[in-house]
Amino acid sequence: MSAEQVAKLEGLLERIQDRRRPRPAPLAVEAAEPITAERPVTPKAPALELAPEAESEDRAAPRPIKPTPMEQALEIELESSPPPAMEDDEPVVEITVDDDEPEITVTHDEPEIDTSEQPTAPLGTRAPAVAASPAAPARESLPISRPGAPAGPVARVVSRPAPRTFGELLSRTLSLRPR
Amino acid sequence: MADASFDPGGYFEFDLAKGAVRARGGERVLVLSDDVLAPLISAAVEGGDLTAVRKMGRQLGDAVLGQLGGSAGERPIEEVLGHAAAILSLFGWGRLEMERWGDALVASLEALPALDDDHLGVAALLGGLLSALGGTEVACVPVGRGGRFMVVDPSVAQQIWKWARGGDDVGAIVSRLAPENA
Repeated sequence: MSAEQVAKLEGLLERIQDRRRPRPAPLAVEAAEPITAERPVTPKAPALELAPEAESEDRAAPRPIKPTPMEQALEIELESSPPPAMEDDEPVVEITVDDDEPEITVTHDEPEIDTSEQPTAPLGTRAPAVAASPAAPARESLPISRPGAPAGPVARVVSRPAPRTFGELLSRTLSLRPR
Repeated sequence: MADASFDPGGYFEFDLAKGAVRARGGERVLVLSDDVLAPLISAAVEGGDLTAVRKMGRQLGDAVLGQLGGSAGERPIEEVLGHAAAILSLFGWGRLEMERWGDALVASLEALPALDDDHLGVAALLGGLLSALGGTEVACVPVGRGGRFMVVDPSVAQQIWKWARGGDDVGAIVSRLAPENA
């Protein structure tokens, strides 16, 4: 229920309470019908409710204030009015906090900025400070001993002549073994 | 591979009066269907004893030696293998080709009879034939499904067979071999 509706209802209730305060009876009122045992009491119009009823001796005791139809309507409305509807696509956010979970500490590994040497002028107008850079090391080649020119052929291919006889062919075949 | 000096004419003599067939060397031979021989070879393979098949190969080798007129060790390769191929063709074992892979020797047999799934029967036959020709024990191991058999020493035949069963082809197997005294 919105605040506007609440304010409207409160104003309505206040007006009702104000109307229920005793005030002088109107001068011209219809004569109230005598209440008898044979006839049931029929509710009267709101104008008659405000008029002082004719009281008999049996009804001398104070009677509880009977809610008016307006009050009944308001009570029914307050009780039966549903909460403001939520749109279907409105996300429901539920935040739960687990006290047992350790706190997450976010550390920042970046080096701290030394503020002692902050530029005193905008960076764009400040001339860069000339720092004394260390001298670059001179290129030094490591000595590698190189072999001299080969005295003979680097590789020597040993070729066997193809077998000429069947016995030689079979002998070579039978000499093979797994490596 | 056929040796021009080998004349197959009249190699078999059919003596219909006696009901016998004899080869050129005089040994009696039987003409069998491969459908009859196949279960016998398969049974020998399953039993792990291919001695009889190997003996058949030795007889073919002896026939080659008979055609050569002596031992084959000192004869040219082409002559020996040509006679061997001719004898194998005459007895219906297929067309023999020989391949050299470095020092390795691979026998290739085309149109060989399908006697067992792995051609172990034909391998035993070739092993017996080459053993007779070389004068020493020789084993032939099937390599692949194309009727190729690697000629090796019997001591390494099991290893070669294991590699071949594992899917290695001739090139892969040869690359794993080296001369014993190298």
